[in-house]
Amino acid sequence: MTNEVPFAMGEASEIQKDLIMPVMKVSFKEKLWTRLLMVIILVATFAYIKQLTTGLGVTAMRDYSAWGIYISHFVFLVAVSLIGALVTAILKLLKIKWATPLTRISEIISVAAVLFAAITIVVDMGRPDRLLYVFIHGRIQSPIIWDVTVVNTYLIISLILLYLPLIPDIALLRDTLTGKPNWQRKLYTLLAVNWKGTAEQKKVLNRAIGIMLVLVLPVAFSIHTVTSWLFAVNMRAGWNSTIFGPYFVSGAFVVGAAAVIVAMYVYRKTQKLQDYITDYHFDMMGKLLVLTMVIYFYFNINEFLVPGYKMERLEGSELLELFMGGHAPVFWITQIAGLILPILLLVFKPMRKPLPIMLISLVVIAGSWLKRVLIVIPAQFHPQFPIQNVPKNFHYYHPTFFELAITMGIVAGVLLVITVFSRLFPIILVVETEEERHCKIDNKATGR
Amino acid sequence: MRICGNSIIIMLLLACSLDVLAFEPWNVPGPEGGRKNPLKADKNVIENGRIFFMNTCKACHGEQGLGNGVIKAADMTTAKFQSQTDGELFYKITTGRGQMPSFKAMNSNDLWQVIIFIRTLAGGAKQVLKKNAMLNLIIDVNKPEKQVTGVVYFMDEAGQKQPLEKIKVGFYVQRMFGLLPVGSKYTNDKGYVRLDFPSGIIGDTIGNLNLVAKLEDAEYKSADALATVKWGLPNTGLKKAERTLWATNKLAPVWLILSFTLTLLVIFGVIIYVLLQVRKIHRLGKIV
Ligand code: HEC
Repeated sequence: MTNEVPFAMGEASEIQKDLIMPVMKVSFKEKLWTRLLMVIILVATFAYIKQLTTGLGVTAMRDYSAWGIYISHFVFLVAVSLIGALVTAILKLLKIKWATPLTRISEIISVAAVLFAAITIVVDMGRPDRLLYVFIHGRIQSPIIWDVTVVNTYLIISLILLYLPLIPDIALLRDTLTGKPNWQRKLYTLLAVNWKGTAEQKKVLNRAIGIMLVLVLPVAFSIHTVTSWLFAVNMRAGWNSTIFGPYFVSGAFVVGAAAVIVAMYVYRKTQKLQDYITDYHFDMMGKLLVLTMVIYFYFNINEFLVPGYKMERLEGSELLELFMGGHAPVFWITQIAGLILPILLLVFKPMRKPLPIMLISLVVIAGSWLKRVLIVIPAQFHPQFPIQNVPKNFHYYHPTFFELAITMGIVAGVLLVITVFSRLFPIILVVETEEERHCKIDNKATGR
Repeated sequence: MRICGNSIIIMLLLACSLDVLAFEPWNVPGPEGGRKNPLKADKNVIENGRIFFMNTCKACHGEQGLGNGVIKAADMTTAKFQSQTDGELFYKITTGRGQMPSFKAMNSNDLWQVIIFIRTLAGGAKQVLKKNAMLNLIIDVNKPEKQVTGVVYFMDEAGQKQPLEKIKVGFYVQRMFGLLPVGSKYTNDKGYVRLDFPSGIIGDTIGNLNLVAKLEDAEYKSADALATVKWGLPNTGLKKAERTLWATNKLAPVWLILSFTLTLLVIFGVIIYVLLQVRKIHRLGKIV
């Protein structure tokens, strides 16, 4: 690959150069990073082939814990994918301007996360060759079918919502990146759909975007609400809860916001975007993260305090195990280090500087992952009928090497999709940023 | 149709041949068979072993270990089987072969206990010593009460019926996969037992039930007494299928089908509309 791509235009603005540059040149570090991800995916593929040929026995899932870290990871990814709707739709509909440079980052995170959420479900299946039967024989009464439907719908909507604002930028790439390989230029030409930036085209595009922004909201809320129903429609202690929907959705905004902050940090460093993703953005995202975490904290109190006050038989034994039993260390670490401490820290402005907030966000993400495990797994060991006459390893769930490797592979897959995307397309909306800046200058000029 | 008929015949042939085939000899590698049972036979161990056997092994090996459960499994009462050492049995139970599962994941203490229990199944010889008795049933079908009376007696040398006292008789109803116990009683001094038959048991289409009475005694044995009584509820088949959340897909509630499809139609309608807008952008670009 040639690194010196002729930038075929003297007329390109500073902003355009800044934002398109990363697409032109692939740095050595970035190549190394992609290789690393590919190695992880390769290991995961081998683990998966082993799982496919020997069966799900290679996992630690047994009769009681029939859902393991695959399903926890699925819930986690669905949660992460919700951020697209928050940053793009909610902030945009509220006309909050500072979020503009963050929309594409959060949209690609959404697309990658929900895509791999779907893949995770297939990985969890013992007979993936029968996947089609889910659609042929699935019962419409089953929340699983609702979930399958809504996950796929959300994937389609997120892709469209990622694509529409990208059209003007793709047209820019089509016109400027003349030195790229043929397939890539063909791709740009195809995806740019004859974009010339005429007033009429802009009108149609803005309308289409406006419609999608409204449409994505109910679908995004339902994807995670329905995912929570997979649990909440059970009589099982620990899942049998009426607030699971908002509990999950609010938790999702927490991880999503944290994921966007980490991505912002990485892109700012690697693509030298200090002028576009500024300290101000980190500060605002920090405040948004605190807001989402406070709401999530509120739901946590409801979810644990109310049943904890009643200590009903099974529910009580499950809660005791979380509060004081075998799961207590993980539980308190996730609640304190993953939720309460970050809130307290982020209240202080210095903590909302790029580096500290990025580190805090990493902790929040790790805590959120563990929290999903705590929601999915312990509840399964408190069934209505006592656990009797079963082999020893039915009594607990410790994920095996294969499960961990495959899950790591899925994480790497998400990161790879995001990386490849930002190699092909600018991660910040070029045309829109440009127009907004002109606006500001105009406003200054006219004294408004 | 022809193919279908043929395949049934083939299956029948297969089934017969399977039945004729005995299991191949199963040899245990030398050192494995030498393991000693760490437990001693006592009442507790045997009882625990019995419970374990009934939970885990009975389905295939049958209640008496005759190998006549839902599939044909090894007969545990034969002298050949019983001549194996505990270590050999332990090896086979933990290794498995063919349809015999491996029970390696089970607690080994449970397995040693069940081995001790299996030894008590060898008692085929003891059963031969039991004395012959007779068990007859008397049922008055004209009476409204559902009452069954059993008479237990034996024939003395003179050919006279002699009633047997304090003999346990168990009453059962034949079900698809086994016997449903409905009660058991001891005979009185005239050799009679009387049982009030429970109501509410579902029978065949007209309510007939097949009653089975068994002599359950350590000293006497008899053939089971059988009778067909019209004391059950008629089996009218499944209730007319209703639209419910737990029914099949075809019987999903109307409100659910409507809201599901309507939501999807609206969402995908909007998506298609938006995609058409993209096409419009494409067309507008050509004109310029
Ligand atoms: C799924 C049915 C099934 C279950 C359950 C089962 N068995 Fe078996 N078992 C078999 C079959 C079939 C064989 C004959 C296998 C062969 O010889 O290939 C067998 C063979 C055996 C043998 C070896 C017989 C010989 O010829 O030496 C032993 C010992 C045995 N079973 C013990 C047990 C015990 C103890 C349990 C309960 C813990 C048990 N089995 C449960 C089906 C079963």
